[in-house]
Amino acid sequence: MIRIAAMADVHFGTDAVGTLRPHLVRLAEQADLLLIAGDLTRVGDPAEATILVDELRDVRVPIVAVLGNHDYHTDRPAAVTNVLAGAGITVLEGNSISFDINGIRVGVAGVKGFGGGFPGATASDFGEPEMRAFVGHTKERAAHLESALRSLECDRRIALLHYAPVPETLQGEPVGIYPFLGSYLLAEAIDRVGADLVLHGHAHHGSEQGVTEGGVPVRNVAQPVLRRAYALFCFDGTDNRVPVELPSPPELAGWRYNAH
Amino acid sequence: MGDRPKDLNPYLIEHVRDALAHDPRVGELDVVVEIDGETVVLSGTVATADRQEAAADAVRDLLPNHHVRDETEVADFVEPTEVEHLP
Repeated sequence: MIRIAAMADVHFGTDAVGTLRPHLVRLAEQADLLLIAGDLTRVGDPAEATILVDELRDVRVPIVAVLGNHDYHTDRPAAVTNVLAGAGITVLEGNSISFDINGIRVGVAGVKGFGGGFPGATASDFGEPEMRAFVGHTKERAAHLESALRSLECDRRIALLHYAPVPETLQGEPVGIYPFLGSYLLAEAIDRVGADLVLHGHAHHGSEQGVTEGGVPVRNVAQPVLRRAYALFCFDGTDNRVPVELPSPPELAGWRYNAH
Repeated sequence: MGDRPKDLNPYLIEHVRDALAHDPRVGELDVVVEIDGETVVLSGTVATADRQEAAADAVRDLLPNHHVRDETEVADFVEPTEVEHLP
């Protein structure tokens, strides 16, 4: 059995001292891992990250995080990462980590992800450099996610994102901003390799549950959606999810995808 | 040339949202802003009580002739009571 605690979008700032820690005292009794799906800070100030790691100091299970868009706002993601890493928190971006828990190997592959939209309403990397950069960033993140998932030889694989991979968990948000909340490219990367769970945040007005086309459960663990400090998940068995058969991107005319 | 539009609230709403994102006291992107006449209504969840107060202050600073009705909620970090069992 593997027990996962997950949270996102705590947006910690210097005004949040003492708000989270009292609600984490039982987490280590309830979970084997804590995964944080981005937006740990208000504006990406390392001082905000310092406040958060102090709030997390009693959480005596491994903590794995990805950064979110808020953590980039003041252009200091490396400094934020250093604060978190200094407190023993693993920050993933295009890489992975695995743990042996109760005889089961569980791996976490993480990327921030980015936007671009979902089938029927997607952006293309065409035209102005800014537009190509926007979609190109998402394609690059999706490719790194796929590589990170492939690197995991585990009984259970979890994809940890900030941006959404499916539109279902965005329901409640204005449809017009879906392209800024996530991208199908993330789900496609996940389905190509296979995973047991996808966690993301970012969509504060979204919904909690969704699923990829390949059947992988997706959970939006943004705090305003959960309305609690964290969500708890449990894998009772060890069955690994089989990836679905998808055409490889180079076979699709006009596609350029650098997954490897 | 057509008549000048009477209701420019859609523009104003987006300026308020932008101000809430960039105001150093607030830094919140997900506050819902509605404008009804001279009243600005704020809703959604903000991370702290300080930011809740700051959001209303930021709107008052931006639109001193408007009334602010603050319906935002502060994030509540209560412990979970349920576990989702996955296959």
